Amino acid sequence: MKFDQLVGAVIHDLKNQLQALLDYEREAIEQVPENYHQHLTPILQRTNRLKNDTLQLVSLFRLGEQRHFPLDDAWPMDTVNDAIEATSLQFPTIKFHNQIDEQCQGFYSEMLLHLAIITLITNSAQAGATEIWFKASDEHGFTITIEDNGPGFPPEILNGEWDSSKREGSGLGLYFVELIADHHRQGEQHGQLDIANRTPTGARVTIRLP
Amino acid sequence: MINLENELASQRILIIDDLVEARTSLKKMMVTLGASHIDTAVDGNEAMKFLHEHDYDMVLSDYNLGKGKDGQQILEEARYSQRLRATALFIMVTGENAVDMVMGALEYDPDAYLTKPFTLNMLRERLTRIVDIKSQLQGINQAVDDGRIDDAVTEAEIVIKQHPKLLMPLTRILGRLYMQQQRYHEAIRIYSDLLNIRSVSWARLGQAICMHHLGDPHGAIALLKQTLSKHPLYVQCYDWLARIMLELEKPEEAQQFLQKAVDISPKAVLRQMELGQIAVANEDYATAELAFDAAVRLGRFSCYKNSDNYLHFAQAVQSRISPEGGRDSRVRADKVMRYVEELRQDYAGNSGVMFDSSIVEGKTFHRLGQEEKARKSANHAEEILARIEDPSLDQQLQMTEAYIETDQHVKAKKLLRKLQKQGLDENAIQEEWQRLESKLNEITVRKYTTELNARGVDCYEKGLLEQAVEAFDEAADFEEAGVSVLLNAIQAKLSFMEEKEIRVSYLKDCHKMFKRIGPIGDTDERFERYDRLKNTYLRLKRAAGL
Repeated sequence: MKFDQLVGAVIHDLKNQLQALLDYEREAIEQVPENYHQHLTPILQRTNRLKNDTLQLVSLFRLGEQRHFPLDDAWPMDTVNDAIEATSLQFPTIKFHNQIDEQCQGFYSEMLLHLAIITLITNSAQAGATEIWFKASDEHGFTITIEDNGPGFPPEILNGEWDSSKREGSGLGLYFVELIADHHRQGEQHGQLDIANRTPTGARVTIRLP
Repeated sequence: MINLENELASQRILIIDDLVEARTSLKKMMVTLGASHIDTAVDGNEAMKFLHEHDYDMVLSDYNLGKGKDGQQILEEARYSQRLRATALFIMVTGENAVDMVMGALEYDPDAYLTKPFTLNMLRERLTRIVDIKSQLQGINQAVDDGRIDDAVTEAEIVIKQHPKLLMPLTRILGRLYMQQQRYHEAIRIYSDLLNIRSVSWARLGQAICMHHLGDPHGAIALLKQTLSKHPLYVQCYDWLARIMLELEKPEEAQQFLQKAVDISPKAVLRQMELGQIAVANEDYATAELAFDAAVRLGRFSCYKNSDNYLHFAQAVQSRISPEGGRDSRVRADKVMRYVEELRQDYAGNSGVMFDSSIVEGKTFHRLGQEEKARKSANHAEEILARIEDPSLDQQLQMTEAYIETDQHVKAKKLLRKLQKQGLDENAIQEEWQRLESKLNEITVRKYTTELNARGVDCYEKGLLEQAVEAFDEAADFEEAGVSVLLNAIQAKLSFMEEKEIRVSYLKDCHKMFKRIGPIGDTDERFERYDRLKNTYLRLKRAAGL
C-alpha cells in the first residue's frame, strides 16, 4: 500500500470514529437527566468540532491529491440547512437566517460547498458574530452569499493575505473556501471568492461558481 | 414541491445495507418520514429475491455491501432483468470517499446519490428533491415503461425546453433513448448542449460512445482519454477504450485498458469475463486464469452465473498443469475438478454443459498423465454426445480431440471423416479440423511406420527378404519415415540383390533414399552402417554396369 493511501485510510477511519462517538454522545445525553446536560454539552460540541475538522482534512487531502469531486445538480437552500445543522450545536446562541429560495438550483459538489459554508460559519462565530444571513442566486451564474453582524475583516485580510499563517482561523479558513471555489470549473472559468465588509458592521463573503 | 409524507405513505420501499445499524437507522428514518411499507435486505442476493417477488417504487441501496455484489450491480441486474420500472426510484447511498468511483454510470444510472453520513433532516430534504424531480419526469418514464420510446423522446424534447432546471436528468434520459434508437448525431448534440454549460464526465463518455458507433474510433479514444485525465477513476471510460481497441484489432492495448478497469473496480462479473476472454486471445493464460476465477467467484450467486466461466477457467489453466508441476499444478487441477463437480450439480439438466465438463475433466487427467481416468471421462463425454440432438461442430471437434488424447484413433478418424462430409463452413472450424487431422495423421503415421518397420525387421531376420523389402518400402513411403527406417529399406534391397539378382529399379530406389537421408557426418553413430551400405550400393551399381 502506498503512503498516501495509508494516510487516506487513517483519516477516513478517524472521521468514522468521530461520527460514531458523536452518535453515542447524543444518545447518552438523551438518557441522562437535564440538569447534567451542561456537563455533557461541551464534550458533544468539541466532538462535533473535531468531526467537522476531520471532514475538512479528508477533503483537503483529496484536493491535494487532485482527486475528482463530481459536480451535480444541488440546491443551496438544502446545503445551507445542512451546514447550519452541523454547526448549530457548537454555536447555540447564533441566529441563522437561511433566505435562499427553495427553487434556487446550483451545479456544484455538495460535499465541498457544505464544508465551505461550515468553515465560513465557524469564522463568523469566532469573530464574534451573533447573526448570520444566507442568500443565493442562480440568475447570472451561481452565487451564494454569507453575511454576519460581526466586526468585519481586518484590512490585511481584505487585501488578500489569506494564507498568512500569522492569524490562525479566518485567514486559513478563507484559503480553504477559495480552494473549494476554484475546484469548480467550466471550460476556462473557475469559481471565485469575494470578501467585503458591510456597513455599518459585519463581513460578507460571496462564492461565485461558473 | 411535493409532500414527501404523502408520497412515501403509498410506496413499497426496499432498503439494502450489509450493516445492521445502518439498515435499522435508515428504516427508522424512513418510517419517521412517512413510509410504511419497507423491506430490508442484507446483500445483493436477498435484494434480488425481494426484487423478483415484489414491485418496488423505491430502492435505497448502499454501494458498498461487503463481499458480495455492490449497489451498482444490484441496480444493473434489476434493470437488466426488468424488475425495476423506469418510474421507480433507485437511490445509491455511498460513503464520501467512494463518490468519484461510484458516480458516472451511464447506461444504468441511479436516480440519485445520497452521501453518508446524513441526518434525518438531510434525508428529508434530499428525498423531497429526488421525488419531486421524478414526479416531473413521470410522463416520460411511464412512456419508457410502456415501451412507447418515440413518445418518451417527444415528451422529453418538449420538457427540456420548458424546464431548464431539469436539464441534467433530461439529458441523461434523452441521450440514452437517442442511443437506443441509434440516433447518435442527436445524442452527441444533446450532450454537447449540456457540456457547454456543465462539465460532467458522463456526457463526455456518452459522446465518445456515439462517435465510436458513428465510425470514428480515434475521435472516441481521444475524448475518452481526455475524460480520464479529469476523472481518473471513471471506470466505464476504460471499458470503452478496451472495446474500441478490440475493434481496431489491438487486443494487447484492449487488455491493458480492461486490466485498469478491473483494478479500479474488481467486482463486476462481466468485466472479469471480458478480461479473461481477451487474455486468452492474447495467450496470457495467467491473467485469464485470475479473471475467470474471479468471474466464477463473483458470479456464483448472481444472474451472471455462467458455466462458461468455469470452463474458460479450466481451459486457461491447462497449460499450467503437468505431472511434475508440483504444488501449483496440483492446486489448479484440484480446482478444475471442484468446478467440474459444481457444474455437474448445478447444470445437471444441461447436456451441453455436462459434455463440456467431461471434456475438460478428461483433458486435465490427460495433462496429469492419468490416462485411465482421462479415458473414462472421454467415454462419459461420448455417452453425453450421443444423447445430444444435432451436436455442434465444435462439440464434435472437441470429442475428436478427446479421442486422440486417449488413444482412440479409429474413432477420431471416423468422426473427422463424418465432419468433412457434413461440410465445415466457418474458417475457425476448418482450421481446428485441419489441426486435429494433422495431429491424428502424425500419430497414426508414427505408429504405423513403427509397426511396418518391426515387421520388416522380423522378415529380414527370418530370411524372407522379399517380404522385408515390401514392408520397409511401405514404411519408407511416408514422408515422416526416419533415417533408420530408410537405412533398413536400403539394407533389405541390397541384401536381396546380393543373394538373388540385381534389379535396376532397386538401385534407383536406393539412390533416392540415400538422397533423402542426405549427408551423415562421421561422428554420427549411424555413420558406420551408412558408409558400409553406401559401399555395397556402389559395388552393386558398378556390377550392373551403370
